[in-house]
This record gives sequence, structure tokens and C-alpha cells, in this order.
Amino acid sequence: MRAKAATAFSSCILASLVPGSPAATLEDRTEQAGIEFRHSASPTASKYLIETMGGGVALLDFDDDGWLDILLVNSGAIRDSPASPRIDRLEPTLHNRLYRNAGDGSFTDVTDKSGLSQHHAQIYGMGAATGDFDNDGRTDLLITGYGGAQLFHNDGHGVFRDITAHSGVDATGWTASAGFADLNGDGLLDLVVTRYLDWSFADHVACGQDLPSYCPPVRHAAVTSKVFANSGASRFVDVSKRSGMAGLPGKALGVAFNDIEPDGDIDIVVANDSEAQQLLRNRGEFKLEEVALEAGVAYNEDGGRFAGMGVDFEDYDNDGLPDILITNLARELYALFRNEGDCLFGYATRQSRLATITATMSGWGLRLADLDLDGWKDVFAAQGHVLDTIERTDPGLRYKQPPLLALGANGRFEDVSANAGQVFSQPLAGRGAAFGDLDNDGDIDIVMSVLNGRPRVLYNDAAGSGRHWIGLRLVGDKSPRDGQGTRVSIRTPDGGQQHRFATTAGSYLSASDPRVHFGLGANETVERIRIRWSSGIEQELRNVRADRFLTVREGRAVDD
Amino acid sequence: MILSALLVATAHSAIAQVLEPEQADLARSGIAARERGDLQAAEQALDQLARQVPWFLPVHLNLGLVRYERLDYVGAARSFRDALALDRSVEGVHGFLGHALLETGRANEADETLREALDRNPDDVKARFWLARSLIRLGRMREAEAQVEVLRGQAAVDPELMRLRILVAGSRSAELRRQLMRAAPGSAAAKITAAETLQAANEWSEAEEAYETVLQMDPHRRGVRLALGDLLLARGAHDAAEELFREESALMPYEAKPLVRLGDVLLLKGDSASAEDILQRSLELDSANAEALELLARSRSDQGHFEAALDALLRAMADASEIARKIRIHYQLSQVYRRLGAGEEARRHATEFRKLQAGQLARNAATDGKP
Repeated sequence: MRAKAATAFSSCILASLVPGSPAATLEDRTEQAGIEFRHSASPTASKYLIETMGGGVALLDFDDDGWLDILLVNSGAIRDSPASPRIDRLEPTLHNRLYRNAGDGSFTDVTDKSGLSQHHAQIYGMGAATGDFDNDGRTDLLITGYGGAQLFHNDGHGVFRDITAHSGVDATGWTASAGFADLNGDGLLDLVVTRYLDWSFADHVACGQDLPSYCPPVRHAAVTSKVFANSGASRFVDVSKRSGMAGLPGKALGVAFNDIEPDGDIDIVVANDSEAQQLLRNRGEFKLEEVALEAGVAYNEDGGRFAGMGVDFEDYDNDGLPDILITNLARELYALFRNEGDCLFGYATRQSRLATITATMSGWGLRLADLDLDGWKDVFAAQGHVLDTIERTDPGLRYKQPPLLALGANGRFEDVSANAGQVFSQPLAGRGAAFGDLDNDGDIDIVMSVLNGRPRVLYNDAAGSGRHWIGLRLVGDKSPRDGQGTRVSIRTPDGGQQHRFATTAGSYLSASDPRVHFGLGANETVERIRIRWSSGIEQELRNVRADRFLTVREGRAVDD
Repeated sequence: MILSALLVATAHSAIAQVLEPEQADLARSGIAARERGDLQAAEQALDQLARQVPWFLPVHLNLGLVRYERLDYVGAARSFRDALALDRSVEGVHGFLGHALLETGRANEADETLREALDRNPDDVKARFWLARSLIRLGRMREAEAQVEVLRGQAAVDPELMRLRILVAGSRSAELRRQLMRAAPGSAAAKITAAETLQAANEWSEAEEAYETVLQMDPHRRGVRLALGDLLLARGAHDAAEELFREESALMPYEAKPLVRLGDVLLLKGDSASAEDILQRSLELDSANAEALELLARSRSDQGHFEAALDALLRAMADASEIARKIRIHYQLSQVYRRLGAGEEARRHATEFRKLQAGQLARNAATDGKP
């Protein structure tokens, strides 16, 4: 026992003193987990743009047993007959897959029992969004893709039911990332579904005279994303026009939520590929006001467009204001916009050192999350260029790239990928990434999807390093039952403050753990936890012991 | 497209005379589908008809055309060959067949077919263009160059022709580079030329080696560290680039450019205070350098010195002649004015930014044919 304590103590000291010595290492345990899924995009010689964009991953506790399960979204086969190219999802290897977490590190494929193998035959899969839209205590699911989106109700007993046809969720075209959020404060999760661009097999154009390649998005017209208001009883109403979203064309791939001011209304960031980024201020009653240019987040610091793909909307510098991080293509630098207050953001990519770290990186799924439990949010990004021919046209770049782990502290990041685990030396065509504590050990694990490849289930062992943590499972009453939209702030005895917004949205095509998690460093207690539910109700907890998950019910006493 | 009109007209005139009524309907529906842009339906109808009346030349021509328009070059080549098997003298088909063969990677067959097209019609510009591309693909650069020269006399200047010329020139420059290195193996100047052409040809590793060789041959050679530093910067090697820019600054203390490059890389690394110092020094050497002024403004904004950033931006705008720089500066001015609480000025520059950016996007769309 003494030896163990000494080891934990020394690792803690080392981690805090030695720059670049990550307390977070991510171990690839895909094999041990028994995840046999392989993403299939069915690349063709025609280079259809959809082939290079999928697919996503969701972490959800679908059976409410306290363990996060894994949903992997498959794309499908493209039967590239010159006469009529078509999508084929018939083969079981082309289905989405749901894996149940047994709680011992292993997962069981429960797709067939779950009803999720009932694909719409014409949807080439992209991503997933999660949320308990009917407040029945069970996590429901939206699957996006080229050809539309499918809404599944979780009926319990591990069974999902496709309710798209009667739900009012009519999102045609190429749907990409999506997210649930209570936009009008009525306690019901509404839905935002991004749409990428105007593409079809008939419109397909080949690019690259001597070297066929995927066409840049500029060759296709922009489209608008969709907003659906939850009217109860699992019914949604399309409020895209009323909200103003229908008048905001873009090439959207990512969406994230937080409260900019914070004034209690949930605002929206939409990451657009090679178009201006969008920041939608929520003015209530589904009125969204696009303010990205004025706020300074529409473009990079030169006023230039960039290829926004994944997005997160979280407070990286612990100043209480949510910032925006958007992944994009190599040479464009991941765009970090620091919230300066008064709806004004500064381009902080260079000062945060992300310019140096991401100069030649192309990023997709990402999250600002405290992976090393030091009280500062870090960045993990799934990476890989969009063009599988890029090395022929730009010798400074690589198509397949390892993921990125950059540890944050005091507003700066340091790339520690080289020492963070084997996966960080593997060139991969990374796409989606979902974040959550798969083994409930107090640190955030990651599942990353790989285009035309096996996903990576990455376990974090930071909680074993001696650093402390706290996790909150939020149960809403007047607010949405799964707690999405709740803002949590903590203060630790060392004077540190942290802030987090409960949401499963963000990243790219992916959905993460709805629980709220904080790393506490050396703090063994949390002095104060302040919870502001989306209903406006506030709760405060004092002197909370660390290293445990708390269940907090809106307006009620806390269970351990 | 001339061929398109020709084929459709031929088909229309022949349809009623030689086909059964049901077949004629099928032909008309295929042609009508093509005319309304439904190429998939057109192909299905014409393919069906071709199976029924394989002896009917226009159906193969139209089916080939539809497949060609759908970028199904394998299918198009098959149909055009079916047509030529019925009548080898039909005009215009050899050129399109040659192009379809080229697109499917059969450059040798394309070469042969396109030469036949040019034998029949030496003024067929498209066929000559594709022949030149076939020859480039086959590595027969001298022959390609000869075809490009003929094209320069035949065709108006267009981007495709210019691209061909660049491809030919690139190949010639590679050959000339090899000759130059054989003729002057110990010349640093020759090595620099080699490095520059290698870099332009996307052969970066070789270019990097060539620059490093120059530095070994002539460590005080002006500009080489800048070129190598920029190459390394493009590869994301910011520290190595910084070192080279510092060395160049020390070697050329009276030149502003190395300092500007150094300031740029320091900014990328997030060291705004050092960047500001360096950029101030560069401006003492070249006070009207708009690039340095822009970067200086950036370094000052990073540190929250918005009044000073504004001063640099206004000076940069006074010297800005390129539209791209003006767009950037208007955007930055809008951001700085907002932080200074000058909302009216911020809006004015944001409006100007939007206007200029829209103009630039429209120009790009016109050039590239993009939506």
C-alpha cells in the first residue's frame, strides 16, 4: 500500500513538473473490447464526394445500466454502375453497429436485437446524435447520412424504433452532424441537423485532370441546415424558416451548443466547409440571429474562409466564457476563437500554440476535454486529409495522420502525442470521435472512427495517476431529463474555477457522454459546484468529495 | 458541342424512316431525355434501343455521346467503336473516341486514334489538344511540344492550353535541370535553380537537399536560407524555419525581408512580443512594407495594444495595392475598431470587407466555372 501511494505521488509530481510528460495516455483496446466493426465507404474510381466524409460514432447508455455503449455508423456500398450508381446497405457488414458495454472492458454486438439494422436503404450513413427527446429516461437516437436522416425512439429493453415517418423530422439531402438542445426552454430537446452541400450522383463532377480526386466543396452549391422544434409526444415541427436557419446557406459539417454570455439561452455554432462559419445567437422563441462576422468567428484572422469540419464550444481557458475550436484542413490551422465577452471573439490559434501544432494537420472529430485531469481542457482530434491523393499534389502533407493529443494549461497547448500511446504513431484516416468514461474510472476515454477501417477504442488511465476528478450525472425535471443544456461551474480549494456545458453534441458526426466531467488535479474536494439548469433553476453543492460520480436531480438533494 | 448537334440531327432524320414505331419512340425518348439533361434515362433508353437495332449507326453515336457526357469513358469508347465498326468514315467520332481512351488510361490507343482524327481533319483543335495530352502521358515530350506549338497557332489562349504548356515546360525544365547540373556540377547558382525547379515540381525532399547542398557550397549565399525556411515552414517545421530566418537576418542585417519572415514565424509560434520587436526593426529598414505592417498589427492585437495595431493597419492600407491585401486589412480593421468601441467604423470596414470579398469570389467563380 505504501509503495502504491509512493508511485502515485511520484507520477503526479513528474506529470506536473515535466513539460510534455502526459498524465493522459490512451491505450488502444479495440481488440480486447471485441469491436469487429469496420467502416465501409466503398471508394470508387469515380471519386464520389460522399466516400471520403463518413462516418460517426456515438457513446450512449442505451440500456441505462450505467455503462456507456458504442454505436458506430457505417456508410455503405456504392454500386458504381455507369448507368445508375446506387447505394447498397443490404449486407450486414454495411450496417451500423451497436455494441453493449459489459462493464468489464468487453462489448457485445447487439445490433440485430436493437432494431438499428433497419436502415433506410437509400441513406449512405454519416453520423449520429443522441438525446432523450421524450424525457422518458432513455436515450434516443438520430442517424444522419446522404439521403436524409432517421430518428429512432428508444423503446426500452434494448430496442429502438424508427419513428422518422411520423416524427416530423424531414431532413432530406446530405445530413451531417446533428445535436439535441432545448432551444426554447420548454424542457423538451429540440433538434438541429446540419446539411453539407448540394450533391447527387447525377451532379457528380470528376476533379483532377490527370489524377482523379474528390472535388472541393466550392464545386457544389451551399444548402441550409434544419431546426426542428420538439412539440412533445415524439413529434417535431420544422422551424427552419421561422428560426431564420432557412435563410442561412452554408456547407455545414459540425454543430455545437453553449451559452455565449451566458444569458440562459442556448446558442449554436455551425462549422462550415470553405464557407463562413456561423454563430447563431438564440433570441428565444426559435429566433436565431447570425452574428459570426460581427463576433469575429466567421473567418480566420485574415478574413479568409477555411474548411470547418468538427467543432467544440467550450471554455478552454477557464474564464467562464465558452470558446470555439474548429478543425479544418492542413495549412489552414485549427481555428481557436477565444471568447472575450460582449459577443466578441479573438482568433487565438497562434497564441495558444495550435498554429505550430496543427500547421500540417487535417482534423475532424475533436473535443476540448480534461484528459489528464489537471483542471485544464485538452484537445484530442481525429485526423487525416480529405483527399487520398494529397501526397501526389502536396508533398508536405499526408493523407493518413495519427490523431492529436495536445494538453492545455493557462490558455496554451502542447502536443504530447508522441508520448501518449501507440495510436498516436499510426497513420489513419480518422473522422468521427466521441468522448466519455467507458470504464467509469473517472477519466475520459475516446472512440474514434476511421474511414474504411476499424475504429479505435482508446482507454485513458489518467485517473490512475493520482489526480482527482468528479463526474455529474444530471437528471432534469423542468429541464430536459438527460440534463443537456445545463451549465456547471466548479471552484476548487486551490482557487481554480472550471466550467462545462452538458451536451452530447459537438465533434464531427458524433455524440458523446452526456455526463459532465471535471479533472481536479491535486484537489481532493470541490469547494463549490454551481449548477444552472436550462430551466433557469440553480443549485449549489458545497465541499464535495472528489473521485466519484454524483447524480444531481434538478431541484432535489444529491445522491452519491 | 458540334458533335452533339450533328448526332442528334442525324438521329432525328433517320428515326422515322428506318425504325419500327416502338423503336422510334424509344429513340425519341432517349434523345428527349438527353435534351432535358436526364442522362441516366437517356442512356437507359438508347442502350435498350442499341440492343434491338445494333445495325443502326445513330443509336451508337448518341449512346456514346450520352455516356461521354456522363463521364463514363469506358462505355463511351465502346459505343463509339461500335459506330466506327459500322461506318469508319463517320466524321468527328475519332476525336471523341481518342479522348475517351485517354481518360481510361489507354494513351497508346488514344495516340493512334487521335492521329487518325487529325489525318481526317487537321483543324480539329480538340483532337490535337487531346493528342498532346496523350503524348505527355506517354512521356513523348518533344512530340507533345510540337503539338502544343501547332495549337498555339490554332486556338485562342485558354486555361487548358496554358496548362498543357506548363506541363510541357515543366518536363523541359526537368531535362534542362539535369543538363545544367551536368554542365556545372560545382555551381551554387546552378544548384539554386535546380532547387527552385524541384520545389515548383512538388519534389520537396529533393529541393530541400539541393538548398542544403548550396549552403554547404556557399554558406553566405544570400536568400537560400529564406527559400529553405519557407519550404520547411510549409512542412510545418516552424523551429527549423525560425533558425534559418535568424541566420539570414544575421547575414543580411540591412535587409528587411529576413526580419519579416522571422516576425511571421514568431507570430505563428505565438511569441507576439518578440515578433513585434523584430517587425519594428524590419520597418526601420523598409518603412512602407505592407506585409510587415500587417504582421506588426497582428502582434500588437495579440498583446491587446489595439490603438497601436490600428496605426499599423492604417499605414498598411495606405500602401496596399493588391485586392487580397485590402480585403484582409478591412477585415482586421473591423475587428480592431470593435475592440476600440468604434462600432460605426467597425461596421464600415466589415461592409467594405464583404463587398470586396464578394467581388473576389465572383471573379474566382467566373474563372473556375464554380457555382
